[in-house]
Formats: sequence, C-alpha cells, structure tokens
Amino acid sequence: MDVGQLQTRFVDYRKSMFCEGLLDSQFIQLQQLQDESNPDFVVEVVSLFFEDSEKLLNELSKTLGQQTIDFKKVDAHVHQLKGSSSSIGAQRVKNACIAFRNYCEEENIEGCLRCVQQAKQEYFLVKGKLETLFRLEQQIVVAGGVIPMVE
Amino acid sequence: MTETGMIKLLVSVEDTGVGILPEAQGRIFMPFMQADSSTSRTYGGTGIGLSISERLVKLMHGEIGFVSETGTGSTFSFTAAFIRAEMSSLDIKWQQQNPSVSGFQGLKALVVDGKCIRAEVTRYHLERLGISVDITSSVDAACSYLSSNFRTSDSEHLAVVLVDEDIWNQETGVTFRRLLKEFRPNGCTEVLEVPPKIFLIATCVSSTERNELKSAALVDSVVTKPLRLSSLICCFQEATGIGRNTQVTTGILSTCGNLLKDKKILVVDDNDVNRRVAQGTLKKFGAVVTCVESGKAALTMLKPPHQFDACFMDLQMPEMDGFEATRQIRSVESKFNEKIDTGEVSNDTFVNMAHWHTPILAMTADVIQSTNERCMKCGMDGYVSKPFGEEQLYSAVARFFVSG
Repeated sequence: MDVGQLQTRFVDYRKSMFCEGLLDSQFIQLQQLQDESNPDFVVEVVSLFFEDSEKLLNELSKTLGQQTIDFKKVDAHVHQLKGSSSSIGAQRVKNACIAFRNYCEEENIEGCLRCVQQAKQEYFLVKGKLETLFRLEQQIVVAGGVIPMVE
Repeated sequence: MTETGMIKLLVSVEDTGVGILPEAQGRIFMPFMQADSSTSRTYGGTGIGLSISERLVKLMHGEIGFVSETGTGSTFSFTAAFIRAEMSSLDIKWQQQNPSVSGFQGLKALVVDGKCIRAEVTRYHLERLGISVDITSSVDAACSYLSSNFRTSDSEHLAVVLVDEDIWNQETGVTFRRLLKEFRPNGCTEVLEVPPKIFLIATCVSSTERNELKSAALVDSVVTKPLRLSSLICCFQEATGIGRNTQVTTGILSTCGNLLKDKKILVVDDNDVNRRVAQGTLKKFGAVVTCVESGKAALTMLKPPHQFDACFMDLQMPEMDGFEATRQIRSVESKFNEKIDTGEVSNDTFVNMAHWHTPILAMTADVIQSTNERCMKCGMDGYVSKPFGEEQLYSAVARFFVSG
C-alpha cells in the first residue's frame, strides 16, 4: 500500500472509533498535546491507562468476590477507572463506570457484578482498537508519511 | 453615576422564546421552581438559575425583574453597581495577543438568519474581527444576493456565508453551493478561484453529523452557538488560510498564549493517567510542571519558601484529600507570614514574597455547588473540572498571572 492508502485507512479507522462512541473529544485534545517536544505523548498516556485499568479491573473482581463486599473500596476503584478513562477520552469505559458507581452506592451486588463485566468488555474493546490504531499509525511513519490530524 | 462614584448599570436580556405564563410568573425566582412540570423535560435544568441570579444581584446591590408575554418572549433586567475600571482594558490586551485578527480586515461575510436580532449579534461578533457583514433573512433573499452580480468595493471580497441551522436544510445547502461556485463579484467575468465558504451555525452537532456534513461537501465548517470569538477566529483562519499557525492549532495558543509561560506549576493527583494528562496540557502552554502523588507530598513541596507559582490539586485522594492538604498548606503559610511580620524570618531572601499564598486550584470530576463551597472554605482559589481544556484553564488562571 502507498502512503496515501495507509493514511486513508488510518483516518477511516479513527473516524469509526469516534462514530461508535468508543472515543470522545478528550482523545482529540490528547492528540493536540503531542508535538516535537512530546512526540509519543498519546502512546505514553494510553499505555499508562492500559496498565492502570488492568490493575483496577483485577482488584475489582477480587473485591467483588469476597464474602463481605467492601463497597467503599469498590467505589474507590471505580472512581479511579472513571477518572483515567475520562482523561484519555475512552467514553464507553467512562460511561460504564458511571453506572457502576450508582450500583455501588445502592450496595447492589448483582448490579455491581454486571457492571464489572460491562466495564471489562468495554475496556478490552477499546484497548484492542487503540492498539490497532497505533499499529496503523506506525505503518504510516515507517512508509515515510505524516499522521493526518483530526479535523 | 451615584454619589459615591459608583456607576449603576442596567442590563437587559431580551429573548424570543416561548415566554412565561402569567400564573407562573410569581414563582419562577423560587429555588427549584420552573414555570411548569414540563420545563425540565423540554429544556432541561433544575430550576435554580433564577434564584441564584437573584441572590447575586442582591449581593451586587441591585434589583432583578422581568416582563414576559407567551408566544413573544421575555425580557429580564437587572441593575448593579460598579466602580470605574482602569484604562488598560481587556480588549486592548486581547488585541495585542492576536495580531492575526487584523488580517481579516477587508473580508466580507453574508449572514443568513431569519431572526434579525440574532443576526445582529452575529454581525457584532464578526465586525469585532474587522469583517464587514451583510444580512439576509431568508434563503430567497440570500439567493438573489448571491446570484446578482453583487457590487462589492474593490477592497472587499465575500469570504464566508454563515447560515443558521434554523434556515438550513440539505436543499438550501446544495443551492448555496451551486450559487457560490458561480459567484462573480463586481460583475467581473470570471468566477473566483476560491469560492466563498459556507459555515453552518448550530447549537450542537455531534462529530458524526459534522463529518457527514463535511464529507457531503455541503458545509465547510460548523460554528457552534453561542458564538465565541476564539472559535470564530479558528473557523475563519481555516477557511481563508489567514493567520494560520502551522505548528499548532491556533485555538490553543490564541488565548492562553503567554499566561503560563515559564510558570512553575505543581500538579497533585494520585492517578498517574490524570497526572500525565494534566502535565501535558500545562506543558503545552509553556509551564514548567512538577507532579506529585499525594496530599502529603504536596504539603512538603508547598512549604514556604518554595518556587511554585500555582498548584493544581486533585480533590479525591486517599489518606489526605485535596481539602485537607489545602487546609494544612494555608495553615503553614499563615504561620510563616506571621514570622515575616514579626521579623523572625527575613523577607530579603525572597523577592516580593512578604505574604505567602500560593494559588491552589482544585481539579475535580464532579463540579457541583457544594464542592465549590468546600473548596473556598478550605482556602482554595478556584477549580477546574477534569479533564480540563484550554478555555477552562484560561479562565481559571487568568486572575493570577498577568499576560504578556
């Protein structure tokens, strides 16, 4: 594929992620923060997000698997996940966390168990797609092209 | 002017909304009351806007009132007393930061909007940028404007047609596009190499809709209402290529500009993703950023004397939250200030720091009235919601740092 085709493929893939609500405008803000002095900013922040989230999701499963559930602890973890997903623009993960916190407040075990599943699903979905997006970006760079900015 | 040298202003806001029913007029200033039960369903809101406004006006030694007619609209007015400001006004400062603005002189825009008052407001915004404006109130009028060999003076040329969403539909879009392609100013025989652009003025357009409109090539850009100078500038720069900064999107540098350059900022957040994003945002404006993970660490960093110009503090942190950390920092600062006053500590060592009060801004994901009160109570100077963008940042820090 030539650079033009790679760029089109990349732009379309990114567009679809926005259309499907996986990403919101905060992700665009992140891209705008990347420049010569901060060339890998987006990948850096997103990698931090991956690390953080996997830790949090594991902790959540563990805490929800206890005999007596510490809902305050659950809420604290969900709050963290909501914060970091919001900071990178992972909209659907963030929304899953909002619903999750409501169930925590009500101390609704069923609801919480459903929510942690939902959050995991959304997380792995956006993770996979972001990894693909970065791969497509890399292909453009390797071919000597420029990454198209978001309009 | 009043006797005390204060100036009393009367501010009126006139709208062409649905109006308020006579039966409801007596209760709309009460907290959590809306005109009727369908209001929040149709328009949203919780019904506290007017009671807050009333309190604010009272605090400003004024009065608030309104006239309303259903089907016609409402006019709300209030009075308030102000002291005369100094000549170094905001507008002059703003002009200095934006030399690209004068690059729009000589451009012309056509505003197509059925609501004449709203069109006048749009005209006002554009004229501030040096752009001259013609208004037509209907699609037909706009079409005759565009298809007649419109006489503009040699120094003016039609750069943009701004169409309000109330008038716009696919058909109009197609028609305008076609007319603009054939547009010949001054009765000259050739069409313009670069035909005028079409902007849609709309309240909220999702990015999906935006992309659809642009890919259908019906509009060149969407400007969101209410109009903001910074977004108008961005749109015009994009359309005309004037003042376009290729390094970075102009929107970011045009207001925050020099405000944060070289300022030392402390970011306090226990979440590493949030820390990194806050740091990245502040660095973009030239700030020198240090990050710490806890309230305790913040306390250590902000113990006078220190080098920080401001601190952004997360509210919800384990062990010591943002409120407690700020309380303790203020307590340490006031003890230190006492020592300066009594001469126990010499303030020769720190230039201009006879009184320590580091600006601390809360970073919060949940912005509600009570959080703001709590922030103020423990000594914070303001807040930004997480994640924050350029405009939020600017309004939060502008008070502390003089631009330029």
